[in-house]
Amino acid sequence: MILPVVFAVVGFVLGPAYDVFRLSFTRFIMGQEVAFGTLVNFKTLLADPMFLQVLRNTAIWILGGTLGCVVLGLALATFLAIESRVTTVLRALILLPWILPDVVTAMAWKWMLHGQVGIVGQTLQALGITERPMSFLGDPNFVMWVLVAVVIWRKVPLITLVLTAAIRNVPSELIEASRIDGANRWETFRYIVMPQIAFPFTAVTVISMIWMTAEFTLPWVMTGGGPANSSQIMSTYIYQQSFEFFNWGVASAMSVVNLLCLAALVTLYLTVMRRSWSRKE
Amino acid sequence: MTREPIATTLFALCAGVIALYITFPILWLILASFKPASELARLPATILPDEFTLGAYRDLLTAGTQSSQLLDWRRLIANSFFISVTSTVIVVVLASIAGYAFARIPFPGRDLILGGLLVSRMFQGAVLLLPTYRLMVFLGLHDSPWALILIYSAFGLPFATWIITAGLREIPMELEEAAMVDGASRLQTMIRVILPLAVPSLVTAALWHFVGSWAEFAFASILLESPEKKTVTLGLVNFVDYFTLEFNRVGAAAGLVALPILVIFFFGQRYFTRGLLQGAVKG
Amino acid sequence: MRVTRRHFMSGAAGLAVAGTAPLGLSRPARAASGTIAVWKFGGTPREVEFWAKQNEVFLKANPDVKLEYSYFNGQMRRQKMQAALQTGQIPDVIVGFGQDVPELATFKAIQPLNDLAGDKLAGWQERIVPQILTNGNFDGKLYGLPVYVDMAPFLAYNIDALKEADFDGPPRTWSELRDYAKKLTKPDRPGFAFPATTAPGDINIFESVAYMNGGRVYDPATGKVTLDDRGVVDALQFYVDLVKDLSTPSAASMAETNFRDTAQLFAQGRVAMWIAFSWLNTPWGTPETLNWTGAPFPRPDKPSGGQAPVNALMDSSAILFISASTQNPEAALSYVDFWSQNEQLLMWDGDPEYSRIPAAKAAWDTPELAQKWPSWVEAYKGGTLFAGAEPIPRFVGVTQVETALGAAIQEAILERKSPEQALADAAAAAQQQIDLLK
Repeated sequence: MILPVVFAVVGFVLGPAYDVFRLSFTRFIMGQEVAFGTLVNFKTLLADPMFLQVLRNTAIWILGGTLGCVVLGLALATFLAIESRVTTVLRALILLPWILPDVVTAMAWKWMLHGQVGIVGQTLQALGITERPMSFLGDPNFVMWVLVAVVIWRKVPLITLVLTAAIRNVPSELIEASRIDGANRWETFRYIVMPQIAFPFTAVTVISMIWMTAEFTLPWVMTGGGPANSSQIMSTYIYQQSFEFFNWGVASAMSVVNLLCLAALVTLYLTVMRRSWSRKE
Repeated sequence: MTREPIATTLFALCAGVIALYITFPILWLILASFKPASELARLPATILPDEFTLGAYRDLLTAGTQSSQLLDWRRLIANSFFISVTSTVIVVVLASIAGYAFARIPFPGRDLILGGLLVSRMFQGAVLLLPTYRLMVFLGLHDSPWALILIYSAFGLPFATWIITAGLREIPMELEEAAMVDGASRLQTMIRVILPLAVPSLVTAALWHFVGSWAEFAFASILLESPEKKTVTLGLVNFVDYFTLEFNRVGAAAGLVALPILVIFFFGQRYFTRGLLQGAVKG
Repeated sequence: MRVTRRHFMSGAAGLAVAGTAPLGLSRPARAASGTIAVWKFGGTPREVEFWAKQNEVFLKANPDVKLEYSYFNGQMRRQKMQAALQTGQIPDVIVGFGQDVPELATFKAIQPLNDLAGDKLAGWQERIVPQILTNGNFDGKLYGLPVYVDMAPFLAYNIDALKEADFDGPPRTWSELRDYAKKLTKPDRPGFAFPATTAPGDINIFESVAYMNGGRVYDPATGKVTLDDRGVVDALQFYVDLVKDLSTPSAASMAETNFRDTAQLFAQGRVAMWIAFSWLNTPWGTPETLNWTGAPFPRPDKPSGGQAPVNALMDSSAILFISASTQNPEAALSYVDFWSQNEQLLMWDGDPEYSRIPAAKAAWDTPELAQKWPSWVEAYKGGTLFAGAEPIPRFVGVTQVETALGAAIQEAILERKSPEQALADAAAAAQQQIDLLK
């Protein structure tokens, strides 16, 4: 019964992924494969002065984005789990960020954030928060964080909905009981709700990490890795290497490194989180 | 009881902030679509259109104007519907079957395989574009909607399986056992007892997958070539590319593309909410 | 499924066909027939629309040819080309960019047209401005047929703003430009703006300034990246000086403002002058009320680069190539030849909706062009418009160099590095990337 799903995933996801793995050990000359069995692509990567900066930016991107998604998602979910007609509407509205294609989302945000014509800078200035409109996407010190904020907006809906459902699934008797025992709201949340939703919480965290690693359109359209490469992350750098520079071998090697980092991160996270599940059981 | 007004105010305030946060960028685009280009060029920007116009929509839809000749929206939308609906049907059917197995039938390595499926999403992103293109050329499917249907299904299946498995695990085993004791076969039980209860998770998985397929761009851009096969997302991106700075047109086009999704959510929402409630009541 | 089979066949038979293509000439000429696939990338909305319309005209004239025409936006170009190269699915005709010639030719994706075109070549040479036709050359052969070019750098200026500051003509030299920009700057309206995002167009504009200063980004003879050339460094210093003079929007603002945004700022009267390609801000709607004009960009006071100063760079973003593996060279050639006819070429007559410098000699005698761009026509007739103009930098690895250059421009204007340092680092990085290809 599970075979169709397994076959589909093996054929159309792992198949191409294997291709990437193979290409990472293939030497390319003028865009043509010439020989398999070489480490030259990995060596090139290590020698690339950009690579360290890319890794650093990627760390901000993945960790910042994941943390933001789950923290904000949890906060929104806690609110949306309240039974009310208003939250019912909000639960429907929250899917809005998801419905437009990435490219259009990126363009809309780019427009809103633009220092000269954007509504965000204009509003901040009108409120007296900044003296002049800021160039959010032109300032190397801010750009990474601005991108993270946008991606959180884009990715938080699913996280929120899964967590909302999970919170609403927590048996109300448990919450009643802890109230009667004199626990305040925070204590109830921390010691009753959190353990109950530990599994879905872990799952959405892993999913966010995977999403963040793969996300490419948003940063690429919004900044193209600029200014001065300060928003160049693994996924955009891989795209640049493969489709702009035609360095297919190096791009594949980078993808392999990217995958290994992600796998390590996910494993680490799952190992840590395992304790909280076993406590629940 | 004395805390009630404060709590209500706080509640309303939170709700307002959240609503604004979620909807603002989209609202902003839609508002822009009702403003004339000259108003968009003015600074400081107006919030509501000073001069309300449907010009951008007219340009978008009327035959004979420049922008509509480039793109046949009706065909684009039809193509996207075909691809998204077909892929969603495939995903929901296969994921339900697999989900049932994962939720109900113990077999060795069950959780490992389910986890493995979910983690297979790690292999994704721009780098898979070219290998996938090669694979589809090899299968003779490039420039065919079926290539996208297959790819989207393969990408969507793990997550859909996970949602449906989780949904099925919430359904008490006793119901099923009772049906079986009454002499129903496994298949009958699955269709008559489990399926109706699983509707919320099925709807959730279906809606989610549909939206993902509808809005997908990267694979559609590399796999489709003929203009008559392109999807609405490709059309939208081309359109946005022409009129980068004319956000009234961009907003109108984005609204047009988002409309089918909004309609679907409008009708799907009932099930969605009921599903969430169901889970809570039962829990 | 027919399409699929044809593509499969082209993969298998591609090499054989490429080998026999020249032999095709000895066959008697006959009317073109069969199916050809054509990919076009980019273009203004009007151009894209016109192209599709003229395809119908082509089909009427060639009833036995079936056209599989696909349009992609400009950003898809490299991605689609890479996919085509990696799978051998190269369409019979590509309408690409002039900068693609070296890579497509070196990867043997396209074929030289000199032999294939036969007697048609003479007609092309007769109808097309020779300097523009050179945009299709690589390695001594003609690989592509350009239908227009853009040229850079030009200066667009707000006539009223200049008058208000008591200038009666545009600046002629770099130091004059700095002086003008300072005097034109008001608190809410900088005197000058240049685009400085990572968009290729922005980088091309800078290249045209550097080449004007005798700089070069690459030396094809040695295969060395020369971004650290004095001419390039001083051009970047010129950009940096303008920022430091406070005559421009802030550096961070320009790093997020591409050529289209800059055009918009100018159109809204929010900068007094800006640097652009020959399209200036025409495709993006300039209000009638704005009193503006275009002029050649000011020259360096004393060119400091090691090479001959280039007056302008030509960039052709619609140039027709024929695939090296086409199975139907006759039909592909007749399609290319169709686009070399004046009926097609004359559409680029300086109209703002098309906004290009026309390739057809005949266009320079039309009243439309004379009315819209009298200074261009005058320069063309006087033999100066294309004098000292060269095709935009093109070589295998040009994207790597331009990407590194784009980052260096941003580093320098944001004062993260000196122009020397930024360009030296960029040269090293680009060299490493280029060497990877080999």
